[in-house]
Amino acid sequence: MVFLQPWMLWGLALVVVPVLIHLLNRLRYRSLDWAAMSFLLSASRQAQRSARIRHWLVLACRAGAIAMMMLAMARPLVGGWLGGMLRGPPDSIVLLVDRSPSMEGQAPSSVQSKRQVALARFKEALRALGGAAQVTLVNTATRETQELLGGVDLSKLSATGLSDAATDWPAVCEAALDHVQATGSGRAEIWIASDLQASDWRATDARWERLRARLATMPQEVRIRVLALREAGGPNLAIRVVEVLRQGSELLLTCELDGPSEPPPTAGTVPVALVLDGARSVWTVSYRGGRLRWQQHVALPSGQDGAGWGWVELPADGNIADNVSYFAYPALVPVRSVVVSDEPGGAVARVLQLAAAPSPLLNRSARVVTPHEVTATLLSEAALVQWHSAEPAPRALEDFVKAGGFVLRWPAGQGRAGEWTVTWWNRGDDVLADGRDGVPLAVDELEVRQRVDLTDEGATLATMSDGAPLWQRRLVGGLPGWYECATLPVRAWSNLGEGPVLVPVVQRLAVRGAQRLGGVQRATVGEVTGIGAEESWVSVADGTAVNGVPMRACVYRVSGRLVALNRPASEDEPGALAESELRAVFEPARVWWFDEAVEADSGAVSEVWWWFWLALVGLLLVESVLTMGGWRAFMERGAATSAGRVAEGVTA
Amino acid sequence: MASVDTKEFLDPRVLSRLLSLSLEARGPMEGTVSGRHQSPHRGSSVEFAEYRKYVPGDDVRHLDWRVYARTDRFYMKEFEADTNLRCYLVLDASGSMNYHAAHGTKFAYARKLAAALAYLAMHQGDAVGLACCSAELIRDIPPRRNASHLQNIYRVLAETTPSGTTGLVAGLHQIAERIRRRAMVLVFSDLFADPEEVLKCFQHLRFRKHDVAVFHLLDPTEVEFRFDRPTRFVDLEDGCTVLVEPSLIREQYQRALQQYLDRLRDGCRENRVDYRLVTLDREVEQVLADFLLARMRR
Repeated sequence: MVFLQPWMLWGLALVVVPVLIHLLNRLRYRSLDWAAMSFLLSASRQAQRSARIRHWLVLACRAGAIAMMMLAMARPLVGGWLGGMLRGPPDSIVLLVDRSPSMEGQAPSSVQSKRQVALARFKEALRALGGAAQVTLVNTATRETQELLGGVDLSKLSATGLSDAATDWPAVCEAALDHVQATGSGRAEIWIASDLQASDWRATDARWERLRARLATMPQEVRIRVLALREAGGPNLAIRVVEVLRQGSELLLTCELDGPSEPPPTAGTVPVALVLDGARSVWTVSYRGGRLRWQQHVALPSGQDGAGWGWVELPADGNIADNVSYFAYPALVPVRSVVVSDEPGGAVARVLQLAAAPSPLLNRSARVVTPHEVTATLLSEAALVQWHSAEPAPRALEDFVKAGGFVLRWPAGQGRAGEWTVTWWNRGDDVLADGRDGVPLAVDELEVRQRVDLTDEGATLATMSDGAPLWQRRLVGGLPGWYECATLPVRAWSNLGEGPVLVPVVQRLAVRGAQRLGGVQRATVGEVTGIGAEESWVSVADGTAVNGVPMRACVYRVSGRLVALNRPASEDEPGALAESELRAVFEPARVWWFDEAVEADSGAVSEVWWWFWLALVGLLLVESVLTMGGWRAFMERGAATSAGRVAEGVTA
Repeated sequence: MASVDTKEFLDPRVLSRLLSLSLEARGPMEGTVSGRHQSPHRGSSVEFAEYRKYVPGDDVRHLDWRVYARTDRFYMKEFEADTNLRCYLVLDASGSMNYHAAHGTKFAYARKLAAALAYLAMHQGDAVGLACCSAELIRDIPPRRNASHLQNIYRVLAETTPSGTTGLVAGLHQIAERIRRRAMVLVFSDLFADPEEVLKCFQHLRFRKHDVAVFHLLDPTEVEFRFDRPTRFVDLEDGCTVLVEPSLIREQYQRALQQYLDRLRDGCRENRVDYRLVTLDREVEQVLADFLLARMRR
């Protein structure tokens, strides 16, 4: 509740007047000689308890009536969002409106998304405050601040529009605090509207610690108001293109469909539209809830050797922002591999070279070099580097992975002898996945006679009979381009060199690594680094140009390259912060929490002074009834008064 | 002896209007001289009572010779005896009778009633006595019928000041024991005592065949209890105090008073006591006229 004339609330002090009058009356009692004392004592004993209760009720009614009058004169406003603002508007307000794709969820019966509901609430609240506070909007996607003048329509600002970037809440809140500190205003409030998606809030992020420390030491009072829009929207499915591999004139799309596991969807199939270079086609995917990953082979038009783009799309559902995923496929380029070995003429180097460029296949080449011959130029043209050297991998190799290249590292030196077989490998994903026709790789036929122990740093792709990893993948710079194997493809180590496993693995890695050379790139909105931050991004869909990195998902042409920009995968993850978790995030700042329903209109702000007048009349009526000794006496006296008036009229 | 100033409690105009009425007893009275009241004994008045057979020793002057002539039997002719009455005026002189409001004290009101009734009784030749009861029976004047006695009564009425705790119950018992012959006992009191004890007194008096009438005097403020602000009530009898908000206990007070009045009224009816509740806002003349007329109608 907020008051348009909060100074009138000082009048609430007048509630003590009836109490003071009562006390003064008690002090100003008169003495009276009395004869019928026995009845007085008897009545006093009988009436003591009920009379005292009634007496205090009368007093409470009188005090309440004064309070109601003062509250009504202060012109209160209610609205769930402004509830609790009893002290009047703050000096400054910082608005933080979550623009992430998850905020586009909407209830089946509603035409408004969570973001639009939040904007409507903020708009109403700001209108009710009538320019009493200085309002600043922080763009939750870019963290830029913008002063809002009176009368500005929040919903028409680009800084409040839909963005496909995740909201980095620790960074956004830091930006808000920076602004509050910079302006140095007296009492500040930070208004947050969010669906509290756990992946956006990152409650365990170390930055919250710093933020809490700043809040505790800030000279001015900062309050946090949270408009929580956690209510699940209507039924929703999200789609993502996880990987695009060009294999000659064919694309291999790895897609993911994400939806709620419970309750299971009634429909067994989902139509997925594919738009490829402007041509639209529809697949039907069997779906039973949860996360579904599948691969789809798509034939490219004949003669299409260059790079291209497309997107997959779901029908409209509870959240339209996660129904589209864009991709770009590379031009047909030679797949160059490099084998780095201390013994370029050795058996291992030869087997690795052969696996990277089998003679019958076109468009593949592999070069064997020593570690000293590895140069930046060599790496810039390579899709895959197979490192078989005792020398440590140079720094350039990590940069190579960060740029989209792939590294497969083999053991160097002596291994440990023994006999192991492969007991488990990841058949569904990655380089050891089953073939296109569902036939698994012959990983279970591998026999390992000598091996090294891999460090437990990455994701295990295959394990041996003693539980030790045979294949591992680890992230470098956030990209999964570094693979390691615990054995060598030579007879003394294993039968891996026979080919049924080695060749597919090396080829898969080489093809993946070649994607970056095809003039395309994949990126996530809000997390783009190293690509055209200062350049013009031209949307291939409608030709519009954006200066700087755009905040909407699409395929853009930047400096002659195609960049498929998509929302972060974390935006499709369910899970929201609980109220207690959010309060803990801002501790010790005071958090006003309000759960908003997307459908209901409960957050509307309206003047409610008449409620208080009504309460005032009610309290006075109760006071009259109590004073006159109960409802019956009150009615009898009323009837007697009416009868008296009638009699007077007749007499007149 | 100087005459008593009776202006405070005796209004000659009221008396002159009431002289046409008489104070009648509700039953036979035992007086000392002939008067206007019925006696329980047979006497020599002109009003025939009954015949009875002659027994030796009877006064032959009362033989009905005509009956003897007709029946040859001796019958005694008996007549009603007329006598005067002895009227005891009993005034409660406890502190509670000193309660003062817009209509004066209850004692002053009682004094007016008693003085007028004394005058009327004396005027019709009856003997009048006076007892003023306080914690102990403080003043007691036995009934006499001479004019100077009336001055004595007025003097005591004028000199008595109500104070202390009530002694009405003990006083009435004493009176009941002391009066040997049937008499009229008129009680003027607010009866602020245990109603059962008060009723026992009346029963005692009635057992002695006295004609008992009670003027129960209450001030209107005592009945209505309409006070509008906190008040510290000081007991007129023992001085104890209580501070209350009158508006909060009015209902309970009136309920307790009504129960008390109902009990007294019922008890008096059972004992055939002439009970009259008198609030001080009524005119003394009207109260007396009602009382006398009611008695004359019997």
